[in-house]
Amino acid sequence: MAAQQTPVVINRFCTSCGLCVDVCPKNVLELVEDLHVWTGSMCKVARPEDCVRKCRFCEAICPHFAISVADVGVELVFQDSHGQMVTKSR
Amino acid sequence: MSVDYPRYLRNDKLPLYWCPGCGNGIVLKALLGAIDDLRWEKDDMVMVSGIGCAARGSGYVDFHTLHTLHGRAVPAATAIKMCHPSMHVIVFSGDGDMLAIGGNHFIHACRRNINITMVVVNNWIYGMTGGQYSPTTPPGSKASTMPQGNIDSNFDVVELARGAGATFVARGSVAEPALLKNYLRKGLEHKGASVIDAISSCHTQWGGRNQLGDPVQLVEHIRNMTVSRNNADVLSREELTGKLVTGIFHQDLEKKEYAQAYAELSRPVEQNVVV
Ligand SMILES: Cc1ncc(C[n+]2csc(CCOP(=O)(O)OP(=O)(O)O)c2C)c(N)n1
Ligand code: SF4
Ligand code: SF4
Ligand code: SF4
Ligand SMILES: [Mg+2]
Repeated sequence: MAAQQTPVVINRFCTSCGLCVDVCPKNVLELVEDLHVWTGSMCKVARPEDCVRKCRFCEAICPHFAISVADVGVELVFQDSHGQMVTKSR
Repeated sequence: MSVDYPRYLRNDKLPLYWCPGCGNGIVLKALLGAIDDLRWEKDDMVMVSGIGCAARGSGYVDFHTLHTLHGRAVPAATAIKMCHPSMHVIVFSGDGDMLAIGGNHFIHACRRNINITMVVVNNWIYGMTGGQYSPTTPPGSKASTMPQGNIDSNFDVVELARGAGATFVARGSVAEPALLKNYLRKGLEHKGASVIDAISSCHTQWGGRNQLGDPVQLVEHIRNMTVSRNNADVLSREELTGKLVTGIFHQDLEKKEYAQAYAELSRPVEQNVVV
């Protein structure tokens, strides 16, 4: 069974630099206001249904390991310097 | 296939220390992607760096790592390779580290053709210490120590490495991370001194002084400057001024590798001692 894939953003790592938004050919990603982080905004997968999934341009350019095109249901597990587990899946 | 980056990272060191949108993370990611393609074991690799923003890269990877003094990554890597010839030795450091203070070590590692992969994370500036100009700062562009524009000529890292005797030389950039990954993979695979000029982006120190203070703008600037080697062949000298030609420029499979030459030299002596 071919797993379905989707871009996933790890919010704690995203610096809102905008590089992924710039390279995405399908305009899937967006920077949205988020006043809980110091950058004041955050990358959001706004239109996942438009993602072509195979290009992975967003993943290749993200300098902060914050966005991956992952199989749906697979958990991305990082432990950051505060010791918290960061998991994200759909 | 997706690369399992957490597998290669010291996840407890995240988030990365680099500025939002700093190109160093793109180069590091491309390197991990290349290593993942090769399926190398983490314990078979040593990553060595000097001092600088880029040099912090070695702290984030879950290999054997060594963070040395400013400019001294290459001699440390040389020593590791001579003592452990079976290890894959990678140097990951900045343009200032590798080409200014460490420039002498760099050319002699190339000359000896020792089997280490040297990734020059080339952001045209001393990022960490406040934007002083480096040997690769483009002429005319501004730096904290060249406020009216750089009067120095810059090194062409590809020509420098090839002239010094490296047997694999390539250039890629953060604007084309997938290609950069391919060049890095070829460089890692190559048995001999390999140099990859990885054009990176420091919007904080170089960009801000040159009207490119936004990471997206700076990466786009690099993208617009980039010409692939094949396309460059048909352009005139004038058309190529200010362009950044990327691709694999040199590979020599004939020249003897240094650690191998040393092993061959020492073998008969060891036999004599035994007899
Ligand atoms: C012997 C010595 N001299 C000077 C310094 C200060 N210093 C630290 S990093 C650096 C330059 C780094 O530039 P680069 O290698 O291009 O790295 P970047 O920060 O741009 O990634 C300098 C001069 C030092 N740490 N040690
Ligand atoms: S995989 Fe491609 S289309 Fe999908 S979000 Fe990333 S860059 Fe956009
Ligand atoms: S490239 Fe990475 S850090 Fe930058 S906005 Fe996108 S997800 Fe966030
Ligand atoms: S100062 Fe420049 S090189 Fe250093 S982390 Fe910031 S953007 Fe990157
Ligand atoms: Mg630098």
